Amino acid sequence: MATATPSASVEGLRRQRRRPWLTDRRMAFLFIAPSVILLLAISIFPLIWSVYLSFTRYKVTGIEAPVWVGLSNYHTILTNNDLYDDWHIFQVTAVIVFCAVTLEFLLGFGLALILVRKFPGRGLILTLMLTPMMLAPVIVGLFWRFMLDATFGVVNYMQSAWLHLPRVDYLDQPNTAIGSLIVADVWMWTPFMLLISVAGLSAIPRYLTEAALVDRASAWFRFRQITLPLVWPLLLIALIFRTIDAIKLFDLAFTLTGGGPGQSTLTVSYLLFTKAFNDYDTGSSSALAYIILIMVIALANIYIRNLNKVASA
Amino acid sequence: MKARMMRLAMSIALIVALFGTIGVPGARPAHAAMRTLHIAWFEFTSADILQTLGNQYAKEKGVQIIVDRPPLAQWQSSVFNQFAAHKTSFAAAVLDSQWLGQAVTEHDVPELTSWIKQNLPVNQFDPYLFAAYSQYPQRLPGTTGGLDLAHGHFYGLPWFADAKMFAYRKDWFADPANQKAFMAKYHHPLRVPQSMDEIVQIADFFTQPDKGIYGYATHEQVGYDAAAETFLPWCWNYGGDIWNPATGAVEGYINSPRCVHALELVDHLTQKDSPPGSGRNFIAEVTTDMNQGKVALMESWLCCFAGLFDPKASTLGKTKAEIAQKIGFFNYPGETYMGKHSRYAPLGGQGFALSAYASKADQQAMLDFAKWFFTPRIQKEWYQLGSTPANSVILHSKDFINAQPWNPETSQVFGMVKDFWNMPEYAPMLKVMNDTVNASMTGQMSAKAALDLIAKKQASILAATGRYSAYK
Repeated sequence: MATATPSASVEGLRRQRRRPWLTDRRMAFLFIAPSVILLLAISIFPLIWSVYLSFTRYKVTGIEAPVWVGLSNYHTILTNNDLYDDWHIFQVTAVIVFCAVTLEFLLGFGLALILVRKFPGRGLILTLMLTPMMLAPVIVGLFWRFMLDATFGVVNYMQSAWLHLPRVDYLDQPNTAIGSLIVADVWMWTPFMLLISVAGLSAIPRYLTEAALVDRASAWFRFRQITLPLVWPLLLIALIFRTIDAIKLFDLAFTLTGGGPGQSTLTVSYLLFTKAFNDYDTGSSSALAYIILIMVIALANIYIRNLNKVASA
Repeated sequence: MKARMMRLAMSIALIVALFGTIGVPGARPAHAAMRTLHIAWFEFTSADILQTLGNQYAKEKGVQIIVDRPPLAQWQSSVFNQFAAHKTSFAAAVLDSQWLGQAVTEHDVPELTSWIKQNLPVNQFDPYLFAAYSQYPQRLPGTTGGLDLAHGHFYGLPWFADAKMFAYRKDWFADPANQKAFMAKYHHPLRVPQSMDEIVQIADFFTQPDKGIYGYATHEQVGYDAAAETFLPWCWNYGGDIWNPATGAVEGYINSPRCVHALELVDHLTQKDSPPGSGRNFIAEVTTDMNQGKVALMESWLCCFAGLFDPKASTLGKTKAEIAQKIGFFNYPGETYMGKHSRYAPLGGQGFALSAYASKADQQAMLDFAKWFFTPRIQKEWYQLGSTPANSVILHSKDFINAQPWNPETSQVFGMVKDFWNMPEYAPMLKVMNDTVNASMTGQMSAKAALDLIAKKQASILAATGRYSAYK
């Protein structure tokens, strides 16, 4: 029979009589209290407060209290579709996100199909190919800006000296500026898709492929019926991460194009930064932040539903 | 239980020790021997010069002045983020003139009118120049008479004067072959331009892309006021204006035929006569264009002209004297357009203002520093080290004029400067104007379309304030 020894129970009684308020539960709460307070102060309270502010007209630098305006901020953002207005910037961001993520997926998965096989130097090549995503986005933006410069940039040098093509002012025209942003993002984040894809492809049981080979299945059949279904859940997760990240694109746009020419490469995150820290329009920037959040949640839900379908199948 | 209490006590001791070692962020070291005060500015030559003077002040008066110098792109947010927190690490800030309305209406800077009356020789300053760095509501161009200290409200001190001018390749101008060809084409001599139209002619004349030579370099970039401050002097010199300050009306002003014509000329210069990639030009890029011998004309802030005389950065000569033989300067020549003659240069520079969130003692200490700064001896050091004072007596003195190659023009420019609005909504107004003008300069839209878009958006911003009669 397992019972507390008489000395332990006496000790416990003595402890309770000395500090009846400091129970084990309360002690545990005391230890986690600082973290909880910090979480409330820097996450929960700002979240609730910013929801409120998104329905007000308010400047954080101003002296006036927030004035309730209902859905006015949301309405303005979602209906202004003139050139360089908020909804127009959403459309530009959508183009950048779609093109960048699609290219990253195709390139990353394509490279993974090659690099998943073992060959001499595979480890070194894989490591080198992962390097771009380890760089700070600000640095990537800056050196792509130098590389694409119309006068001294190495890209223009190569295309004029080697390919005899005319020099192109990549960053001064809207279409090429958007293209440059996409290229820089693809260069930086394709290794992420590559890494996830390699991990997924490496996890496919060999016996399935071997069995298919024994049955003389073609490469395309093996890819379509074995490889893709098994690696698809992991690819979806990578796509979720990259899509969310691409929607948040700020630092590349800030350093590479500054949002220009005009405001043609202004992304929604950059717009949010401008509203919050240039215009100090706290109400409108809070509303914009929640619109972006709702969009991201909606997109993530679409991906996750797809993921669940695949998992249940 | 004892072990648990010991662990709790050790955790608390660790936290106390940590803060004791690294300090509470923002706290001044308790053991500092000399009082230290901070001034917020941004990283550029004049701020470095101010730091030199701050170190000198420490030796003379025993109070250390530290000039906080974030990059230009973060200057505005570094100041206003602290104002928003109602707690600043600086006791004073050097503010761009257009920030004044926001800082005053948000109670971030205290009024200095009585201090100015008692401590500054205001009659030694051009009243419009002084007021631009100090007065809110804004003194309008064309207002006559001295500084209205009796009725006006002044919040800043005229700390650093700046304006835009042109630098040009005087050796190219003096070349007999160029003289002959220019005369043949335009039927008047190649000279320092006598009108804005002549600037366009000169830029066209020198542009030879096959030789890598262009006629013109100016600020165009998306960011702060680069493109806007290129458009504004052209707009003003062709007789246009950007709004009606009495009513707040923008429509019919910024998109008037005069302003459209001005922007069309700027677009011509930036698209045809500027080096490739000029759409992202700001100070460093245009200085580099001139230093590398690529352009005949450069339009920039005079505070940056010292960069043209650095032999390490310039291909124009091995010494300053050699470079000085090739580079000359001129002010905006003005233009007579549609029967109206106008001559303006855009006002730059900044004013010094106290932080309303600094202690009274720190504010007074800063005013003591300002009083020392405005003494003739220190003002002389200020320009001898390379900056520009706002005092008209100094600006017209022989000593100042001889101090730098561009100073003869500098001494004249402040009689023709003009500033744009300093209202509390300047930030979104400026962003709209700057970015849309950049779009026009880079050929994305016509000048008319750009200015119509600016008029529409700025009208919307001003209407939302409820303060302007044009929208009631």
